[in-house]
Amino acid sequence: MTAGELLNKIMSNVIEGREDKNAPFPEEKVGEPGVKELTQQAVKQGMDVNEIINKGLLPGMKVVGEKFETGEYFLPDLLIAAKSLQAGMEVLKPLIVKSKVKPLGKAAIGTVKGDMHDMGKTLVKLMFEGAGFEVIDLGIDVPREKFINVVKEEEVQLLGMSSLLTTTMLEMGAVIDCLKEEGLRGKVKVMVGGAPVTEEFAEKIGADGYAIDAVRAVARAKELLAMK
Amino acid sequence: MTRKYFKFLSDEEMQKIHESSLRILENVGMLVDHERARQMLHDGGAKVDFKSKRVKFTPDLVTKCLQRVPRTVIYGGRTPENDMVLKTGGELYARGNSGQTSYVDLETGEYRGGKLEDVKQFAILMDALPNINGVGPLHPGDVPTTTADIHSLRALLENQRKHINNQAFGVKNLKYELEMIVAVQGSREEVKKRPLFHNIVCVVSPLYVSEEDVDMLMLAGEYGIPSGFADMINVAATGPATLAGTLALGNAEMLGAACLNNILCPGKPQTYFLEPGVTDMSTGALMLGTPENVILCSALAQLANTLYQLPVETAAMASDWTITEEAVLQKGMNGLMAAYHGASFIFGCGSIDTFMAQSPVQLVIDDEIVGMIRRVIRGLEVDEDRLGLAAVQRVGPQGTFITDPHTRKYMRGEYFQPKLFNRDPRTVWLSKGSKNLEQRAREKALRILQEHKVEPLDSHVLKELDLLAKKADQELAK
Repeated sequence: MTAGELLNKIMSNVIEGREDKNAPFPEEKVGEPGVKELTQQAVKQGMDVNEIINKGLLPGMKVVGEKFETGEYFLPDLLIAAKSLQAGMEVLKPLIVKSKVKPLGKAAIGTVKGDMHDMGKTLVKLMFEGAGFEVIDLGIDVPREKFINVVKEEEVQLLGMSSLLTTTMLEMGAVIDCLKEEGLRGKVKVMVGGAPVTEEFAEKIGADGYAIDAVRAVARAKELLAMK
Repeated sequence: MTRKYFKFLSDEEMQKIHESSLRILENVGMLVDHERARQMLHDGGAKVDFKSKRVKFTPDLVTKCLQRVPRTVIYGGRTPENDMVLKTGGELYARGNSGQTSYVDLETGEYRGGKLEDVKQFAILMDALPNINGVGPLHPGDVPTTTADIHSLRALLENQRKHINNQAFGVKNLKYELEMIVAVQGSREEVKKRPLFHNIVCVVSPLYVSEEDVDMLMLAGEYGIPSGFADMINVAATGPATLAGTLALGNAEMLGAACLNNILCPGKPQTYFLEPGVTDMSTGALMLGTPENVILCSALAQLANTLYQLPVETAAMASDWTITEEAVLQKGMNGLMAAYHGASFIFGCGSIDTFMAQSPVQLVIDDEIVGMIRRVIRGLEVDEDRLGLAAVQRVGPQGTFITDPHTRKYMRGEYFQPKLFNRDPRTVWLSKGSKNLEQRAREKALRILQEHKVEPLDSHVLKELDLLAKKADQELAK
């Protein structure tokens, strides 16, 4: 396959969410190379890591995001596409480290204390990784100290907090207050999200940004960090 | 009243779901995150893997536990007139629910953060409305965050007389709340006989029970209080994407909860407590008012009634978003179908926006809707006199029944009398100001608040509640 054909195949397999050759959908394609095998082949053919990412993997994710916005794709489609993108990135990881390709930015994300919901947070994480961010996933039920420590110790530029319960969303404000007390507020952009959260609430508690879904979260984060 | 039933599921389908639930409990089990409980469950016959915290239940154990769970649940009010007796085939009750944080202002219609004053206002309305049998508080924002449940419980105890659906934030809070109802009811014996509230703990789908919830379950058990073991399984997110799959898993969790309840708190009754959700496939948001919710609530109610004879408490009066016309249809469809499948206690009255806000206007409307649902499921009696042969013979061809004594005899008992929905012909309605449903509901709510008085609790009880609230803030407020 030519480089161009290979990149197109990588892109279309991300769009279809075909992680590897065993992907169960679409049924007619089971057994055909998926993102993992195609990325391995691209590496074998000596293609540039940046090219594979920027002309194969990420464009595929962009199309997926667009289809999601129009309602053609549902959340499961988004998630499986993000997983297949990750599979490609896993193949490239050792080469990325070697070639010192820098991530677009570094972020940490978690669901606040008392809250066990993780689907939305995981989706945001995957979309951010798909956009080229390095993301530290703090998990669920995250105590305030853990949020503070990751800002202190990991040089993250963006802190994301999620809550799906009306009773736990107030924790977000508490974390922002803690950041202020520790003199860390200026070091990081804070974004919040989750079903009960609104733009007004985000403003009220002093967050920098809010987005209604994972796709828009990426766009908003790039705005906040003055990225293209 | 003999309840009449629809059947969503055939007998064969019910069996298939039941078998699937048993397989889940036997082969997958539940993760019970509480060391002492795991030991007790092991001693009670469950198969416990102490390392993975997985608890598995054999079909035999499930059957045994089910047999031992009391089938009648008494939910008490301040006085016996407000008591409820929940059992399969028994009366249909309706209530509000707890946990909202927003309120739709009665005067301005503004959707805003809920305050303690709102809990009080809502309580008075719920006390007055005849078709509402139980209440639940929102969590106000103008009290300490960590004790909001205690403050709202107090507001309910002081301002209304019906049974309360309590949602304690944790076991320390629950202790204060239990002491509050002991103060109101006079003694722990009285609380045990006719508990003023039932507390909610959760099965976190799929198949998880937290340490705090088990602590609350056991503490409530010590006081003799039934715990609603709420199940809020969501299709495609925390349960399978198929309705049958979510039914099987949700039912498994309910049966598992019955085992937990029976082994950890023997003798304590419980309801089959459902709040199945649908996940919007584009946003991941929880939905409670879709057609699939109707199917889930009804089918689970049918299972619980037919196979297990456990009284069903279900979120059939929920709705999504805040638009009245949409809410009315969602609540009407779901409430009626759940009632027709044997639900004993339908909840969500006064709640909108997927349980995120309470609306006094919606509460008044829901009271009417419940009244209509009750009338429909009351059905009709078919007996000699009602068949009216004598009347037909009297009236004959081309006659009228309006003046017949048969009509006089039955006209007051046969029909639903609306207190809110409009019956006026168009011209009369126009002359009265062409008020829509929301406007009339608002006027009714304001009228109730002006006229309705709730007898205050004795001053020594009020003092005790005040002391407990202050103590709770001292210990727990952050």
